[in-house]
Amino acid sequence: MAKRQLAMVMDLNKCIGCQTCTVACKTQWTNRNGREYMYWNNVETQPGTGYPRNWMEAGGGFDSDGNLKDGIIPDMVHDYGVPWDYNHDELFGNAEQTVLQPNSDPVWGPNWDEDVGEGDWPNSYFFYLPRICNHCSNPGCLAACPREAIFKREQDGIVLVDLDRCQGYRYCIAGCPYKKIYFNPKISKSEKCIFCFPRIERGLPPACAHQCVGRIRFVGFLDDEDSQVYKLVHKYKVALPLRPDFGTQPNVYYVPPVISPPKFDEEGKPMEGGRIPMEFLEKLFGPEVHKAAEILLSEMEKRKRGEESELMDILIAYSHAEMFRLDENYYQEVAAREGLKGTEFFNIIDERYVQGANTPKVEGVYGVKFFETQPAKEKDSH
Amino acid sequence: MKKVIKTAVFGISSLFFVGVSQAQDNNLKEFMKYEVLNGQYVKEEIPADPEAYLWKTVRGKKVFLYPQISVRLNDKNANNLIPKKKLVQAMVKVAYNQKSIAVYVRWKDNTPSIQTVYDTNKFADGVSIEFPNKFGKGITLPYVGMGDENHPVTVYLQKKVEGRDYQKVFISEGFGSLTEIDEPAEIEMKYNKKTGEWTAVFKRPLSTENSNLKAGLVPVAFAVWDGDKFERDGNKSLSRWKFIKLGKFKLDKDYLKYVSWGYPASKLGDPVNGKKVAIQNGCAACHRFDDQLTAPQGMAPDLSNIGGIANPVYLKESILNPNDVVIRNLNPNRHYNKHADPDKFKAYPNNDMYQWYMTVDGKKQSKMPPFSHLSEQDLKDLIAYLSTLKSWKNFR
Repeated sequence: MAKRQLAMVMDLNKCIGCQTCTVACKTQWTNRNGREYMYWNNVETQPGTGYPRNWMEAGGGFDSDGNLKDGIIPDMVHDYGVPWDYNHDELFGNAEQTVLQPNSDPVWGPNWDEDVGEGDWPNSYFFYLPRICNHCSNPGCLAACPREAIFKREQDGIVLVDLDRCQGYRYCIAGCPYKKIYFNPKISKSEKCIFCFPRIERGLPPACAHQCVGRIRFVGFLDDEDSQVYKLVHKYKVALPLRPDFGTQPNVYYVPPVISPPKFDEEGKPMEGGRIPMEFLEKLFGPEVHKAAEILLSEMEKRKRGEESELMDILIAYSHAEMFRLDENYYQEVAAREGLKGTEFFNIIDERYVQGANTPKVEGVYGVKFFETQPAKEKDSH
Repeated sequence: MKKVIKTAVFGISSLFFVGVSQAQDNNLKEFMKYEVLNGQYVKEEIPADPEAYLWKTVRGKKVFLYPQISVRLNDKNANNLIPKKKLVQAMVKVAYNQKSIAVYVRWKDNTPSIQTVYDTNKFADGVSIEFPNKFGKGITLPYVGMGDENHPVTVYLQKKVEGRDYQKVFISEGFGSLTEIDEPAEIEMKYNKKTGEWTAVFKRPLSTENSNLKAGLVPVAFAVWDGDKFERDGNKSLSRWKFIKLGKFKLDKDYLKYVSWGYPASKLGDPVNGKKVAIQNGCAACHRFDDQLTAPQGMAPDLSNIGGIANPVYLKESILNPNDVVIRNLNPNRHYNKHADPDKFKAYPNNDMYQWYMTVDGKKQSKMPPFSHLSEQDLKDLIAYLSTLKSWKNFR
């Protein structure tokens, strides 16, 4: 079991769905070598099908007795969506002869239902839900692996795949109720969000959090009482795990979007309360959401009256230095404890993730070719 | 007077022994017929190509492979298909020369599937054979599902994966312990569209760093994967231990006697009483089998088709001395103890109830107690009963 636990809090009241986090993650980790289709970080519209499609209904997680539940493995084309390109080169200088079109016939993609939401004008509603791996305390992926190839780092609770042990069986994907572990078909191994541990170990927050223009993400250790993460989760209890009923105890927490525009009545007059139904938020964030909403709204009122509110000050997100309390000396202490000096400090990066002796080496940096692959050649079969 | 009685007794008992030994001979004949694969000695180099002429000249035998349901994995789609699976019948042939041994496996699969490089949920057809690293007089049989801690096995695996020739050699000591090794092996696997059959040939040196097959009787077991049925890893069909007879090497009579013990199980005892014995001894508290399905899923290996994958002698040993074949259960994190206090990050400890073994002085001990108190007849009846269990229709 992990001795410490890193956590992230995302304030959904401030997420504008700009996908900067998605791009930050993609360019850092998933634009190559079989990971092209993966979004370790995605931002989906809720209510909606999410990414991968209908992930909430795809099984995994634990029942109330603590036993792993069966799950399914989403389909690349119909559930994840295969990335496609446009014919920009062809179009350039030939705008009169040709039209902009994708190079394949896409049937699904990670934001296929972006901004659809639910409800009718003028009371339609939706919000954005950014998702990364939850680095759960009871990870479904880790429990499912018959090879025991997934591990939770003792020093910070980050959940990683040991690529040497992984044989590409994909039970982890069925076991993760958030479908945040992916199969890399090119190397036949599972891969997932690594909480940017190489950055974390040097005191930098994960790329998605650092790049977030809305400054909605807070990162820190859950047992560090001075961290804003601790204050949001434990002191004010306004940050809640997503789908706590899945039983994996996620370590990514959300400040629920309780501050939404009012509904309008038949005469077009604004009514009391927000548009997003509390029943829906309760489904996503559990019954605690009501109490969290109460606290958030009352602290907001306090601030409006000109009184002090530590909670509101935190959520305004004045400074990165306070939002990301990574306690970088902590990792140096871990390195020192392990007897690592100077550049050896870099050794504490988990080589188990970074390279596998048995991992087939793959070519290319920007795996464009990967998606031009023709249907499976029936080699050796006649 | 006394002398006469003695002679009479002697006479009767010797008659009795003659009867028994004749029955034993018949049993042994049946064992040789159904459980033993005759290796054909050849002088020339053995081709790894399944279509090579040599394989038309080698006589084969049928081997039955049963769906693996002893442990349950968590892929919903794969699990839904298990009750509908059919028994896999493989044609197996063995050839050997001074240096090498080659095993030929042919089986029907109307849906040839290849694991593609652009899909997340496509799985490969595959085939595997295993040999115990140590076998022979005085050495008990390994657990057929990739060995156990006391009995490492060498596993040869071939899968149809797009873009590379996925063939590997492993050492294994039970579930989750496959460790890839660098040992010489030639494996070829081909599909015949006309007959709808896969054929594979595994060729290896008779003797390697890890195992020496230069013996009269060599245990071997088979597994095949049907990618179309989401099969990979433990989702597969497997045979029980079979034995290759290599005529050029000395057949150890004691070892033959040992591996053929109790064969055929149908003549070993009364399955009806065996079922009573199983129920009276509380087997159903941990194991699921037959119509006894009350044990919690995952508490112990499911025995519903144990008769298909376990030899009578293996059953005897696991009943009398479970510690000899301690089987790793799947990842212990599959079951959390929700009644225990979670740690400060709300992580629950594992539920020890589902752990199949305890570790005592660094050695794994089976949680199953030895049932050595059973009378000999009860034991035989029980084995006769367990050997009739060959169903996977109740799998959920």
